[in-house]
Amino acid sequence: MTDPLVDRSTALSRLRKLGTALTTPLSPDDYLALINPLWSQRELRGRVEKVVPETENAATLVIRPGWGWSFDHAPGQYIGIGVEIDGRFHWRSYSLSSVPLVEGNTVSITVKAMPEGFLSDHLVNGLEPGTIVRLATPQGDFVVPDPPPEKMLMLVGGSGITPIMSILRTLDRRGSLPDVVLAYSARNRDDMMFLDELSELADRADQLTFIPRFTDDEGMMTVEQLDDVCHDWMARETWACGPAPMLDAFSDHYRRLGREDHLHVERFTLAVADSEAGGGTVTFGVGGPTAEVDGATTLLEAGEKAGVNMLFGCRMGICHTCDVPLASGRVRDLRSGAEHGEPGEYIQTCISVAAGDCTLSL
Amino acid sequence: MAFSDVREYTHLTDDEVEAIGRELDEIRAEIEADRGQADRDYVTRIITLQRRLAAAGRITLFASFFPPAWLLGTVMLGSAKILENMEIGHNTMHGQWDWMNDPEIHSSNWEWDTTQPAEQWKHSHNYIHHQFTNVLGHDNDIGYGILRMSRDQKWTPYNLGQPVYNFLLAAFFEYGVALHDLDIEAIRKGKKDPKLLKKQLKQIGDKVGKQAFKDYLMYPALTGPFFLHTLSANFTANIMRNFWSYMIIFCGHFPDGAVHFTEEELEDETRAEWYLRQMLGSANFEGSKFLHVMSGQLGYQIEHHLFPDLPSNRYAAISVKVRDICKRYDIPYTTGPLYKQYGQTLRTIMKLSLPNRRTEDNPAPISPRESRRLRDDERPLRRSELGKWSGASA
Amino acid sequence: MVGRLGVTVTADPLVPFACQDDDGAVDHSVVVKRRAIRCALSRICGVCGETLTRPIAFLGPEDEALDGLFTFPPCHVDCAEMALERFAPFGDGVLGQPLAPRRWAIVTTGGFDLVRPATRGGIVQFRPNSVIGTTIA
Repeated sequence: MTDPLVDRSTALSRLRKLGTALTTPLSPDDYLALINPLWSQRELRGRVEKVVPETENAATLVIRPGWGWSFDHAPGQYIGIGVEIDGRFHWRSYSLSSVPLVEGNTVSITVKAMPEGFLSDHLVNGLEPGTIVRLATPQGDFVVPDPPPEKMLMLVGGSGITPIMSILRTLDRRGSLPDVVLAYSARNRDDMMFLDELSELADRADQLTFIPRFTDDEGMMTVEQLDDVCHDWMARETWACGPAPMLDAFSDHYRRLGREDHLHVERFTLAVADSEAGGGTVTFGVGGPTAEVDGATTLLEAGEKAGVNMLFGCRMGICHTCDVPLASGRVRDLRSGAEHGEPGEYIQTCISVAAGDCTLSL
Repeated sequence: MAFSDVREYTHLTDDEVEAIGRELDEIRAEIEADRGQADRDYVTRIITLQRRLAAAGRITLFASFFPPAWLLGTVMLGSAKILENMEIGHNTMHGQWDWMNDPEIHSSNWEWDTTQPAEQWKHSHNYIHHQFTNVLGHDNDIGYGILRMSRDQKWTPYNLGQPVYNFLLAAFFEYGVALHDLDIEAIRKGKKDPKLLKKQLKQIGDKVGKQAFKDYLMYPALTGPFFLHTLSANFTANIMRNFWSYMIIFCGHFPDGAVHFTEEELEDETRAEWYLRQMLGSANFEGSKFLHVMSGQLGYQIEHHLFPDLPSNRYAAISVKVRDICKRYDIPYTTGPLYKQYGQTLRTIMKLSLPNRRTEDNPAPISPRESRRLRDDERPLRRSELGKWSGASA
Repeated sequence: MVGRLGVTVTADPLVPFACQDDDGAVDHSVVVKRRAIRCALSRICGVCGETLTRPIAFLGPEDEALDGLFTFPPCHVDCAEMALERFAPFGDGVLGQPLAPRRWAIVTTGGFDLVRPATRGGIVQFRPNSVIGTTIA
């Protein structure tokens, strides 16, 4: 149970004590919640007020937290959100995209529906306004000090923009926006969240240099291109948030050039099982070629890279052209998360990843 | 008479026992896979109802000087306490709702509205009673250390007072339950660890203190001049819950059809044998849906003992399947109207207050398979007292 | 020794609750069946013997995590992490595992189901039924 963040006054805490003596072994919250679910701080919760679409597969959830919530989070932090689906609570963490203490009594998170994330899809497409969700207090140290450094660089990919939005909006709000270069990559215009708002902000505020990059056309930004994108990056305090490979590459780069102390990174790790338990050695055909793969590369991709002749059709798990029997080991279906480990079981290589060492019968 | 071997008693072959085990496993697996929104809705609705009822009762008692208000308030409060004790608290502490991953309804932190601390209940009930169900010398629910409930328990003159102890236990059942985990038997024999005893007594003292403060001081005081009226109302509500829970719980294992076991049965039981012992050692009663909710679904005692950690709202549906299994394998399935089940229990309590030689034994129920092999004149006379069985008929 | 009540719970971090018998016998490579059942039914921690908190943690080899079936009883998250740190370095024969696993895993869950043994002498196992997360050590 979380500590009550209210009860700053002794009168209030005395009242609470009295209430507890009357409701023991429950707490007053349990009865107050009968009147209004937000009047309980036994487990922090909030009501989803609005779901605002940002792009085709992303939306901002505006949440009104209940009692016990402290609104002065630091921009860049994330909260936990617990959603009830089919009777069970499922938890995820999302960066707050809102500005602290300003937007009425609400906080916002912006969620992108990931193909393998059943909860993110539900949050973007299935959540009804009025739903009560559970919350966890803001955490994280991906924050900008106040006052901010004079020169900042932000390296952002995809949904990594969410904490950055909170930071930029807050700095703008407070009038303390310094010289900021924002290099933000997304697949294309439709896929880029907050494009209009950022363009408008960059127009209004000269200090902000907004460099959007559409990777479908221009490819992903590499560390070599960093000098071109931002020639004085070595003089800037850097905040980076995006897909893991991007963060790894830039972390290495900064480290090699002795600038690792000036790089702040926020990693959106999926539930650990997805990234760390995945991967292994794949053997293509008993006694055949092997390849080391991670938990994100499909078996089809891995086979192709290893020069194995792999059958495929739609490459998205529908046509079953790619079906092969599993000789041994375990694989995971990226769409459903289901694990398969029965020897002889047919699996679809285009949407499966290794979940430990495995051998395919080809 | 207590049995040492379920297989021998039921005349089942090894294969049949294993088959029964598998069938019950299937029922279990089906429910485990199916737990979802409907179940959550059930428990959250009951909890909301119970809390509203409790609040309404307390508020009504602000007019406790006015007899209709006193009565209404008492009944509402008593009903709320019954619901919380039986359908909500007992079931939540079994872990029936843990799957929902909701800290507000979870076995790890649920504390219930009686004088017994949840931690001790989880030990004495969930573990001792459910694991060693009906095994003489281990299951303390066979008499609560106060009553003699089996002919195999040695008679002493102390037992003559049984009718009185029974009444007191019923009226103050929540205190009987509160002291349950202390294990009076072990204390008497000097086998109880004094440090643990001290810790438990302190825990009980704290809980009793909070409950008494709430019901017998705070609420009466809040009603000002009606202090005594409110006090008597709250006291009565607690007594109401005590009597009701005592009756329902005693119907679970004391009607004639439920048998006892000896320690030998416990040695390395398989899953299937554990299931069988749970079925044979438990007794159901029949009633309306309302009755079943107010008894925490313990009218399905057999199903509860087979699947103590599956959501209680499922027991009714499970019972249809369990009855079918019992029918096919000739296993006695003890059930009957509530008044009958309690009637038999009360009769046993009275009877066993006397030494064995003074009373006739109700012979232990004979398994349907065996009874079919007996000739008519060899059948025991008092079959009508032995509860209803699905297979054989009197 | 079956059903002996009033057993003092030795919250001795050197010996997990589930690896010691009621008469004091200790064997780290085996989970005592009686204790495992007690942990499941009384909802207490297999390491320290105290009431479980949420979330519930299960500690075992990676294979047990993937199969969703554990040998070692449910624990507090802190106790599981502490036990891993303290005992894993010993290799074989700790935390109920006769052989050291290639990798250990901790699975957190809201609840679990008890799986009793199908055969005589079989072990009891635990199945998490609302997994929150899996961490591979």
